[in-house]
Amino acid sequence: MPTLSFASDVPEYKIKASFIYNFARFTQWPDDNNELRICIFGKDPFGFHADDLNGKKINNKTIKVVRTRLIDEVKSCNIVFLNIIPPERHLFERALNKIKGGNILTIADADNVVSFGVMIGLIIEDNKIGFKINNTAIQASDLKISSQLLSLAKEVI
Amino acid sequence: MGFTHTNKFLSRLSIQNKLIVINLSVTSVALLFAVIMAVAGEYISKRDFIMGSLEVQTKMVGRNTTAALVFNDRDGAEKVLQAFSASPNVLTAIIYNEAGDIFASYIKDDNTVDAKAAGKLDVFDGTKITKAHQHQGSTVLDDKIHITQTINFEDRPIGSLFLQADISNLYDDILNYLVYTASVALLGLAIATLLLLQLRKSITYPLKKLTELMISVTKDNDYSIRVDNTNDDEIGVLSQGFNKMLAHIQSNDEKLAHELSERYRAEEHLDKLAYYDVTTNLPNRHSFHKQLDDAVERAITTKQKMVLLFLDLDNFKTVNDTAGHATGDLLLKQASSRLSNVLRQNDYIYRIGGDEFAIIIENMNDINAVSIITNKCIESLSNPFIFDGKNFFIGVSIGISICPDDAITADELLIKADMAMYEAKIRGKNSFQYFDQEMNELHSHKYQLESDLRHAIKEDHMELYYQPQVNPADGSLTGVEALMRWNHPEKGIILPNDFIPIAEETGLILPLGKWLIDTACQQGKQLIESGLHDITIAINISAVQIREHTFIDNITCALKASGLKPESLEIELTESVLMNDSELVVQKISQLRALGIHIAIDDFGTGFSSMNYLKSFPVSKLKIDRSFISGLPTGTEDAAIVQAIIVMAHGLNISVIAEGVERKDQVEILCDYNCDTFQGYYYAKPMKFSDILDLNYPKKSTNN
Repeated sequence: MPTLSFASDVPEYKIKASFIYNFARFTQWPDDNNELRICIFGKDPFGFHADDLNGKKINNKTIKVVRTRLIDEVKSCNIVFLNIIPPERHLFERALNKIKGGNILTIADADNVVSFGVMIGLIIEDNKIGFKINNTAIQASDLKISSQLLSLAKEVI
Repeated sequence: MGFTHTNKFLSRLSIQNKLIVINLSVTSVALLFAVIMAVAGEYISKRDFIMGSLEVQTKMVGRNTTAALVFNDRDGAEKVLQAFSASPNVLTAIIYNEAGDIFASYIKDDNTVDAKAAGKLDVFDGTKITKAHQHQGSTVLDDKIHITQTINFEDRPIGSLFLQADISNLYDDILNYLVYTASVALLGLAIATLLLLQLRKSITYPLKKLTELMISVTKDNDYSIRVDNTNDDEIGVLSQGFNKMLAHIQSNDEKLAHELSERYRAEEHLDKLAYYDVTTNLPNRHSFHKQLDDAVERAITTKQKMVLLFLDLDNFKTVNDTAGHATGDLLLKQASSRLSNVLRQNDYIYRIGGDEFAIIIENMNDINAVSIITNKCIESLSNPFIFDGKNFFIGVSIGISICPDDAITADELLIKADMAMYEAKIRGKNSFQYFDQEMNELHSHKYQLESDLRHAIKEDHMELYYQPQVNPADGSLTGVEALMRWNHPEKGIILPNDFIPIAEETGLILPLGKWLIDTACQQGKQLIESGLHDITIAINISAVQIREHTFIDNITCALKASGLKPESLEIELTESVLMNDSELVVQKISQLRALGIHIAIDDFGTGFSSMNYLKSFPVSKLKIDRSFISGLPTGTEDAAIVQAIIVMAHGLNISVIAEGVERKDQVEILCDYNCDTFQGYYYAKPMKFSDILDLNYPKKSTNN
């Protein structure tokens, strides 16, 4: 079956950066800002692959990639990639609790992160990158994601 | 051509079959059209529905694969494409990416036809697909639909979806639908036919009845039949018209039948009149001639003797003249009855003239028996006839001729019987006489005379003599009486008394009378033009003449041809003519008088004592019979009668002329009696026309 292959020549976080970009394309935020802030919380795994997103436009919103280690700074972001190490439940729950109600699309790539309350969790399955969605968390916010995302997700909780 | 065949075919059918054929044809065409339209409509709507729904599906699926394309998730895309498994029509669905490469595909499980075949390879060919997604849209190829849908994301094409669907089931559906609608149509047709068979009765039943009736009328000629149809449609109107026509024919038929029966009765009546005598109810002269011819023929062929009796009543004329016609008729009737009673069954009696009868006796070989029969006839009439208590005596003279002894033709037989009858009369009445050859010679004189008379009329041997009528006061001429003379080349001049009876008997009186009228008018006119302006030309007319239907025309023609004024013509009739109570004679005399012609009564005083009739006829002159004048002046009775006649006539404003005046004393006494005019040898004998022109009578005016 033809599918997206996790080719060795494409770096993992280049793909993940494009995933984040694509998630943004299938998500609607309730605000009218012309800036779409993508925050990378914690240690930056993307490097310049994240910078490639800077300046790209989605529905008249210009992407701005922000890197931060302070959870409070995350509150002004539209998307946050939570790179919490070690990836334990209570750490994610505390961070998520801090930014609760901010209409921020939360993404992480640690195991089981959607069960910790993260909205989208990137996974590697059969040597391919895929994702899981915590629809309960998304529905608790004012964000709207395309149903196509739900259908592409490996798992929806 | 086909149409002509159809028309020929139709014209051979009865109306009800025509109606069925026409109705079924029309219904079939309509139903066929309806079926075609319904199926076509069904096809179009079904196809459009399938196309529409597939296009919508394609759009939706295309849109749902945007994320898969964006995420380059082939599994995701194929998962989305699996949605087509719910659409049995979709055989293949392929998603191409932006570059035109196959990104994901769906192939129906049981698609054995096209999926792995050339079509699949074709659609998998990348270059073709690039082209395909530039031409977004739908195409129908046979039983396949190809739909290409561009997949856009963020207003930019990111791929395309190609769909191949099988719509062969659409054709199956349409076929089923066709079968269904055709069945419905056929059912409709069947119902229409049943309905038609029921309904056509309302049209064809009355027509059929009408036709049957017409055939029955034509066959039986019974016009009393009527159509029972009270509908208001055209057939009803037709039926009413038919009934009216029948009624009309029927009434005409009845009229015709009535007319025919009337005519038949009239003919029967005429026939009876033609062959029977009304007075005596015996077969008449006409019938007699027919029977005589037959009897003669039978006598000759059967070699049996046939006897003809010719009977003439003696004294009948006297009875008729003294007792009147009515009594005469009664007598004839009784005499006929008496004669009939003495005849045998196969002997027949005919009335062939006024008082003449004939009896035909066939198969009579014993001549003595004839004498017996004849004697019986005479005896039967010998007893008196009693009317109103008066006795009338008549006798009969009988002439007998026998076929073939005396003659072998009917005419000759009749002549000889007639001769024998005359002989009987001469030898003494109330007797019979057989014909013998001597008679033939004796009586040939009479027949010679008849033949001579015919000849004389043709050869102009007749001549008119004129006897002056004079006014005694001044001796002037008041008129002339035209008298006929026959210049017989051998016998010399013959007087009317000697030939008029024969002329009347033979009918020669008619041409003779016409000649007299024409000549008298013509010569009378000449006399008047010679200066005798006030004279009248008197002519004698017999009863036979006046009865003739051309009589009035003859008079008016003669007047017109000669130029003689009607006032200058005087017609002398005997009393017996006037006394004949025939309406015809009365009418003709009135017509003559209306023309201005004078009517004079000839031989006045010889016939009847009654003078009442003078009042009812427009008579202008009385001519006192010479027998009275000859007795004057010594005969006192005659004198009294003459005087009485003159007084009475003058009282009725009728002038009186005395004829046969021969002596001066007669003139004198008549002048004393105021007799108006005189005619006789005393004044002048009858003279030739040329002589009377030469007479020098005082003329009242010398001018024309």
